[in-house]
Amino acid sequence: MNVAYQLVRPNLGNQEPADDLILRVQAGDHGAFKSLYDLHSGRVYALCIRILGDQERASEATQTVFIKVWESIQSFRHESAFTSWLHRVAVNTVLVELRTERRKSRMIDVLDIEHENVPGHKPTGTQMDLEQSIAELPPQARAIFVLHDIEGYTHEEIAVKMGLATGTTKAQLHRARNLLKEALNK
Amino acid sequence: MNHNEVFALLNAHLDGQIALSHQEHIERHLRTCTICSKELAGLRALQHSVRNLPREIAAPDEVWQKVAQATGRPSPRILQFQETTHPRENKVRSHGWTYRIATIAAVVVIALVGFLVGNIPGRGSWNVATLEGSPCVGTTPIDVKGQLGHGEWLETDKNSRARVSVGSIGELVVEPNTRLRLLQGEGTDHRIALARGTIDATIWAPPRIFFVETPSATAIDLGCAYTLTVADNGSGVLNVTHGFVALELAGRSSIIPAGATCETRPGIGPGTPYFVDADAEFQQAVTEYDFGTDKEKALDALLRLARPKDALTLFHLLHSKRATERARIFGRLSVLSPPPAGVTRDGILSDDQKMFNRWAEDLGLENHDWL
Repeated sequence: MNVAYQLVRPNLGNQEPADDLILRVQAGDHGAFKSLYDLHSGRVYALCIRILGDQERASEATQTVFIKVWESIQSFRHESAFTSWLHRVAVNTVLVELRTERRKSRMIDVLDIEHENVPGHKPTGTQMDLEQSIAELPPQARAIFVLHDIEGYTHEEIAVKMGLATGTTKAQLHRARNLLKEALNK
Repeated sequence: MNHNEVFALLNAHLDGQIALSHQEHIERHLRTCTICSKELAGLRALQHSVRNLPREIAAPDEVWQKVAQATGRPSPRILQFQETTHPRENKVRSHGWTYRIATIAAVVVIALVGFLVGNIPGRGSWNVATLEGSPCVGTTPIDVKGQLGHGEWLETDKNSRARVSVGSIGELVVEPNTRLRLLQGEGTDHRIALARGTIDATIWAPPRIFFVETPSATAIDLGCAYTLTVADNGSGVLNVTHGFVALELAGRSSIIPAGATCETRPGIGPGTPYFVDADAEFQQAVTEYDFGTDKEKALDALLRLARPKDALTLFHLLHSKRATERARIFGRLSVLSPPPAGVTRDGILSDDQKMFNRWAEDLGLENHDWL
């Protein structure tokens, strides 16, 4: 059991949106949808940019996530937390994007964009170095590291989502951590 | 358990994934091995740093702009949901897939009543700013800025133009020689009458909040930007530059997407929409079919000249009341844009609304990215 990382288990957004907000979106209220976007886009974008390591692709993936939310919100039955439902949509979307062969796009300069965009957040040098180092990890190791260590998924869950053996996800996580430690110790 | 075995298990140890019996071995080893202790400390430091990373990173502004562009009107699934939960009781209008837009729009309107009424400033009157010349509200010229109240007329002469705020949901540019009246300026019904002239409308509200009544049709915003011109004889021309607009009059309706245009006539209502880049002869044939006398000849030209993109036009024409025409139109449309699985000739010709809706979705008639 992954006790340590249960503390950072997926919790998109700062708070669970009120049921009436979801109901309004389900009724086709675009204003409510904007409120929902404002509430959760930061969390979704953070997931996307950390897994993809690329601003342009992260923007596209975030767009895709919210378009899917708009189009499939009827399938949300209020039986689970909306944030969990949204997180599943976001992770599935970003992993599809990760697998998609794309032209080599511009790698982000994390230092330029990340922390300028965090409202009220003044990052430390270590955090900036860490974000940059995460962005420079090999794609598969990066995705597994983000899902496990930042998003709180278990190896079993990651293995299912990525179509890998748990042995592979463990090895890749180990590799990612080692690379990050080395990078941060330079 | 030797050093190498312990070292290899440190990640799992950190994650709490080691059996209790093995943990004791590892902890015992850690008390004496500086290499393993240092490695574990490094992993814990990394873990600590990761936990302190910000949970949110604001997405660039253009992300929402693109999401809004793609979702500015009810999605097919939402429309389908609304149709399921609010089935139509009456089939009044001719264009089946527009019913669903109307249905969801009605629900949206209801849902937004409380929200909008309390959030739209300047209730009852709209701000007017002079762009050129001296537009008049009533008989009073507007110097720089003014107000357009309920029931008041705004008029521009050949030398004047004005900008009108549509509450907080959009704006109009009123071109020269235009006369319009504010009928309703608040809540879920923002409505003007355009007696003559031209307006350029940009609306960012949910669908069916802004209406323009003309002598030959009512233009209903579905999340869009458009230009609407009304001639002195009451006929009109609508050009849509973004999103979709519905034109309706007395049970006759058309949906016009970006890049398309549609004419209206007093006593008849909206005609059939067509793309402005269609062949000139095709465009003339649409006008002749809608408002002329030689419909058969016009239809011949339409079917002969239609491109795949002109499925917009043919799909609207499928609602012709003449069975022989419908069969011909179906034949041509099914060549240009084959119907999806489950949509049959018999179903379309017998006005099966589900099949109409399915084909409309397949044609992209409910998708902002159609163009």
